[in-house]
Amino acid sequence: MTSTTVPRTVDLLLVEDQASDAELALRALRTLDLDERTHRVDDGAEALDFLFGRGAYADRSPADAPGLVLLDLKLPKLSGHEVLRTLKADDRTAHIPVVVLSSSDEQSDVTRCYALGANSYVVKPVDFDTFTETVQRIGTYWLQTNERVGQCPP
Amino acid sequence: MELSHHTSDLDPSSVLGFGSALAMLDSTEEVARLLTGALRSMGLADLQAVVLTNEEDDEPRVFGSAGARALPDSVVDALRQWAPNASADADGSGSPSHHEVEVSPDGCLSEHGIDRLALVRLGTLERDFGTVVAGLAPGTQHTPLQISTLQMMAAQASMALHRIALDQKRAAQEEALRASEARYRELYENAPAAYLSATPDGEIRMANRRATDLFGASESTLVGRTLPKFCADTAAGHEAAERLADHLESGQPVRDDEVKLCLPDGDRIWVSLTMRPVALGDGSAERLVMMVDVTERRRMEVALREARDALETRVEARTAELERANDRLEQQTRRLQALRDIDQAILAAESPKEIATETLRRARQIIPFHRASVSVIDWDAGCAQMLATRQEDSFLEGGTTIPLDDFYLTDTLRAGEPEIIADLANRPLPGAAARVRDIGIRAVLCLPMVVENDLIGLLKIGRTDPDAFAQTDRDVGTELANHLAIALRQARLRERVEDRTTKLERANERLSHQTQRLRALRDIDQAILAAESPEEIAAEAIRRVHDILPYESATVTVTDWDTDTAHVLAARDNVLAAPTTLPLDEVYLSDRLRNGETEVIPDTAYEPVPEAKERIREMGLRSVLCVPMVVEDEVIGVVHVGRTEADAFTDEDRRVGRELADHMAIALRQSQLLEEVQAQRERLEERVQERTAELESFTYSVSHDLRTPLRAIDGYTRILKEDHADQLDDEGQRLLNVVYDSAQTMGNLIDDLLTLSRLGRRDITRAPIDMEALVQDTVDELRRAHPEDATDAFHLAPLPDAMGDRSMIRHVLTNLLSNALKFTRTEDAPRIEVRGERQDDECVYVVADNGVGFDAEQADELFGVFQRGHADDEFEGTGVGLAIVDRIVRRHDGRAWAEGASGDGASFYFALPSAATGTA
Repeated sequence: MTSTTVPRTVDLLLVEDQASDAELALRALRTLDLDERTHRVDDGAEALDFLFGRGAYADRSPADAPGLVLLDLKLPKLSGHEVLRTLKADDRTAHIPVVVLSSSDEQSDVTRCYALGANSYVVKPVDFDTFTETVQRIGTYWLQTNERVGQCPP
Repeated sequence: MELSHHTSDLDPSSVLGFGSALAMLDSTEEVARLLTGALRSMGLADLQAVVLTNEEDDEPRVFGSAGARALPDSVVDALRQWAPNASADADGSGSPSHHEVEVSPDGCLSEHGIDRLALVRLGTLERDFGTVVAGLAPGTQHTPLQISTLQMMAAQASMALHRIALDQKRAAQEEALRASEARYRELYENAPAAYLSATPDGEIRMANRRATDLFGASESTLVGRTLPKFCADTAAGHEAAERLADHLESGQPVRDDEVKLCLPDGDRIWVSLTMRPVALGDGSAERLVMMVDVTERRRMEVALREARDALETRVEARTAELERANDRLEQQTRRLQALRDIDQAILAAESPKEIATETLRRARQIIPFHRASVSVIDWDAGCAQMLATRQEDSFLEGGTTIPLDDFYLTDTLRAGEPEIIADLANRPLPGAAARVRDIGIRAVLCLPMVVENDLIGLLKIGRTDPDAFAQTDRDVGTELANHLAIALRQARLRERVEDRTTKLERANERLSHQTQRLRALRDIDQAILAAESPEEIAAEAIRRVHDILPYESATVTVTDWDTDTAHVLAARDNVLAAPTTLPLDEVYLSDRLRNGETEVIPDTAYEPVPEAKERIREMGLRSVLCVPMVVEDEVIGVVHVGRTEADAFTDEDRRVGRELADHMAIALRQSQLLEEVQAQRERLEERVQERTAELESFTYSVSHDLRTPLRAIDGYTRILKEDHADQLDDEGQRLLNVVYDSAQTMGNLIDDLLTLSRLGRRDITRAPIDMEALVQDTVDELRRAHPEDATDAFHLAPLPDAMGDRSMIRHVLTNLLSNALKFTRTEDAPRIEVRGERQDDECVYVVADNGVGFDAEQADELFGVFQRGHADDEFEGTGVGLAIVDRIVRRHDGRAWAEGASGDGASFYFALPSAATGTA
């Protein structure tokens, strides 16, 4: 999937280089009808381009921020940690909730992400059922329960 | 009141008769009675009485009658008041007075019919005698004639009373004179002394009874004789007589205590005589002589004097006797004291020679001598040894030995009997005795010294005068010899004991020296063993060896033959300070040292090595002990021990030095080897750590990266099953399941491998763990995770608390309990026990089950990675669980092991250091 099929309204930015994981995640989000409003990028640099309206995403404004960034840590070009640091260091994007979804359950990774400003840290379950349930919970909470900045009710 | 005159008649002749009758009377009572009788007979009163006063103020006496009756007592009492007194005599007329008084109507007089009393005084001008009382009955009255008669009779009675009073007085005076005379006569006669009165011429005039008794002659015989003539007819008697005559003549009072008289019967007595003059009333003079017989007293005195003289004689005799005894006693005491002095000197003396010398120094206090000697006899050697000889005041050198043949020793002496040689002259004598004679000794007292029947020697005492010794000298000498013998015997015993003691002490000293050396060497060994570096070894060794090998300076140097340097490992009191490295040619290293031989060298030996010589000079060392340290025929260094005295090292010092160097050589070599091993080990460890880190990092990333494809396999398999099941036949479904299960297994495997790898990196945080609670938690969790299992299989016993990392220990428990659960699943009555107890310094816990168990031979392999006790399809598992258990327990410094048998259950143990030691 590429930027060519960017939905008009992006609620969730899924940063995931593994196609299988991305597909499984989208499949889980489908139940919540969130798959249509999810945009997936497969490396860190693209994620930042999307968020700051640069490169291929020059037509986008940083003001059109997604309601949630679901961020993997092991990414080509730019690691998830760098994405997190840049994103949280910029006033325009700092408010965007970032949930780290990583295979790593290393305490060092967890500590580091929170230090960089991650809003949540979730270990990717290996088991399919658990994985599906976890992703759904994240979507439910952050996009349907959590109140985001600057979103005026229609 | 009308009064009638008294009716009695008055006869003047009876009045005259009354006067002449009065003249016949010589007592007042008779006068009173005559008067009252006259009053009654003349009818002058109805009651008549005379009250007479008494000169001695006694009660007045009352005489009288009422008519012919005697006066009752009450009337007598009533009449007494009419005795004349001062008031009655107040008119002072002195003439017989008459007056009348009325009596009290209720008095006793009135009862007797009297109502008035006519009172007439009896008395002279000088004194009152009494009162005449005439009681009158009522109606009667005295005529003037009667009154005159009364007064006249009273006057006559008064005169008679006066005459009687005068007569009585005279008679009393005469009687008193008679009594006085008689008393004096009696006194004179009965005086306890003999009294004589004599004229100034000495003529005896009177003699009392004692005097006549004294003289044994009647007074008449004595009177008229001349007193001085009674004095004895001796010279003294004549003198006494003359003296007495003179005094009698002159009247000068005299007392002569001892006058011997010759009595008329020829007896002679001694008297004490006192003479004094007496003036008689007629103007003549007499001499009163008093004599007391003192014959008996004189006799007693003489006897007393004689007795006293006898007593004095006896006392003197006795005193002399006592003094002699005292002298003897003193002499004996002196001797005893001298003996005691000798004894004390002997006791203080330390050798037989000294004992003998001290004895001779003092023996003169007991027995004077010119020459004396003390010798002891050595029967075995057949000779006598002179212990001490004193000649006059000088002591001759002792120690001379005289053969017994040459020595004066008779059978008497051999038998222990003392012997007196009265005179050495003119008799055959053995050599030694002859020499004594030659220097002028004539008499010799030979005293054997005997102890327990053995003759041990002789005390010989010599004098220049022949026959000089008496029996007492012999006795005293014997005693002295006895004392000397005992002392010598004691000294000999003491010497023997001292000798033995000295030998023992020497042996003891050698032993203790050796022990000290060994102990010091052992201490050095221990210190060396505890030391961690060659420098420390060397420093400890030379520090401690100082006790057994004293020195002023010491160094330990190791040689490096490759670089030709010497390295000073340790130095004490040396100008070199350790560690220092020197070129070898600045160190004294002779060929002998290079060959491993010990050397003791003087400071001069350092000449060829100027640097070393300078150091030795600076420290002032005069001798140095050099001991090479040799290991396997190679000299690895030298121990130098220096002293400031020349030639100061003994063989013993060399031995100690040698031993020290040997021990140190071995220790240094060991230390060297140890350092090499240590370095090797450190290198290895470093490499192991590097490799381990590499490996762990690899494992981590691999496990990590494996998860993603695994999740894909799992996820897509599920999607396939859920969304496309209808497109797969049964075989397709089965194959899909196999893929799915494999993915599950692989997931667990990756988790376990990650855990294992993480354990290698994670730090342990130790804290006390409530094991009972932790086990309960774990069990609860397992029950939740595996509700399908028979979770009532668990039986938990009380457990001791552990010290460790709680989450890690929890991991251990989880693995062991889930294992147990897994392997009991096939049992009908699964049972899983958790027990624990404290053993010594660790806590041992066990999870025991009654499951399928394992082959006992596998027990040790079970804890390896990927070791599985059972086939895959029998019991699921990755083969990493027990490896994790083992890893965690080991990281806690504990151990894990298993016991079991195939089909017979399994017990998995793990032991952790107990809380007390695990807190570090």
